[in-house]
Amino acid sequence: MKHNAISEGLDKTLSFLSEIKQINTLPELTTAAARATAEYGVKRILAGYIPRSGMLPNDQLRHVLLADWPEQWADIYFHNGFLFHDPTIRRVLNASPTFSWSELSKAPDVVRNERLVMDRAKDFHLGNGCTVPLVALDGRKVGFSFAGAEIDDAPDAKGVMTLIATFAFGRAIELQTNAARASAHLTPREREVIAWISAGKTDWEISKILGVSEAAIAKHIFNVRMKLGAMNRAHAVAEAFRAGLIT
Amino acid sequence: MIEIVTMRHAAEMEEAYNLRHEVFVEEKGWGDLARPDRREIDQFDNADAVHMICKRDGKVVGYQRMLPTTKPHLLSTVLSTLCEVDRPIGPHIWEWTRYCVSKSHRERGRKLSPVANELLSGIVEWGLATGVDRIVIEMEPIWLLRLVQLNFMVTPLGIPRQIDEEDVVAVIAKFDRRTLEMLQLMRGNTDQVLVTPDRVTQTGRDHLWEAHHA
Repeated sequence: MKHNAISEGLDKTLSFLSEIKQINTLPELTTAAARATAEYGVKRILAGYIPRSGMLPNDQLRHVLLADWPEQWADIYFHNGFLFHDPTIRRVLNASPTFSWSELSKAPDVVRNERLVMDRAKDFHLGNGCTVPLVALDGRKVGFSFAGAEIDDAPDAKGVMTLIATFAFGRAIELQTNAARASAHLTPREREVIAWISAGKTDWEISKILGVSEAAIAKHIFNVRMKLGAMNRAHAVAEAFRAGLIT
Repeated sequence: MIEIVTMRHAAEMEEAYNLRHEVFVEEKGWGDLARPDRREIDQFDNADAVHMICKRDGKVVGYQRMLPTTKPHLLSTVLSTLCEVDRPIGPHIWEWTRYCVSKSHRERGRKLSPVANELLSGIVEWGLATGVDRIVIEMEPIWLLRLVQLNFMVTPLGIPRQIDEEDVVAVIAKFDRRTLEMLQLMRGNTDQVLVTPDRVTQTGRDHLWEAHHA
């Protein structure tokens, strides 16, 4: 059978793919992703869902799944709301293809605040990097950043980082979901709301039945979704039944 | 509901070619597929192709095409540079192409839409019934995570390349009952989506019948 030569990059990706099947913790996964991309100059990893604008620092941190960033920088970054002035985040929200930070610093649309964030990052040897935008099944945007003082951003290197990021984050979601479900505990109110949903009631109807606002119902459903790692409402109801949390 | 249509379903095929034109030529800007009659048709729309459509209110709003890897297909011809390993070929491996959902039936914020779920469920049901268990896909890497989360076991066949200013990667994705289960969980029901008295699924039903009574 005719085939092209297998590249070093694909070889590396395939070994990573088989390696992560044996990995069962998020820190080990972070280390493995950094090791798999070390030859491109990668020293640090930060990957997570992008929080909504204006979210508090502690809530922002909960969106991070994989990270080995210098603690001091993480502190500065989250407590100063840098996330909302980070030019990489804007590109992730636009679901653009994988990009390197060096192409970013030349981009004409980067504003002063954004340059400040990039300059501060240099103090922590995070001057260069490559960010892979991903879209999760529930529509949430994911940013997966590889950083270091010097990063190889040739097309092949970017391609490998794109694949490594995808498989690492896929495994991270799986691990997080398993852990969340194993310890999931619904409040009586959450159980009530899910039971009404499975009975076919709308948010508005449930809000009337329970005498609370429609927004409160939506919030309960969101919390249940997060506890059960469910992609949508139907999925949350199904998982709640399966886990025996409602009957 | 997903129907498998052939050239005999002239009206549906016509709508499908128009939808393909809207999505791939007008929206994605794949100019070399453009035809003045606004029907997007290529050399792979032959007797071997399996066309699947999803209708809403009598209109075709979702479409995908399966091509056998035992015959010429995209990875063996126009996109062969995307594959660095031995090309996966066999009766149980088909190539998934031209997947599209009409703009009117997509979800806001890139969530998996009900039509998209049905199309994917259609592939898995069709595969489980006919003995197909893997699909070859050429796609934008940004959507890969979605397949992984749906319990498709994805293996890249090469690293992503830029073709006509778009990043594309070729992968092979294996699926099984867990894939279908995940799609059903997201839909909130276990109804079969595939409905057609066509030859292909008829054979499939016979297989299922045998499997149940084996």
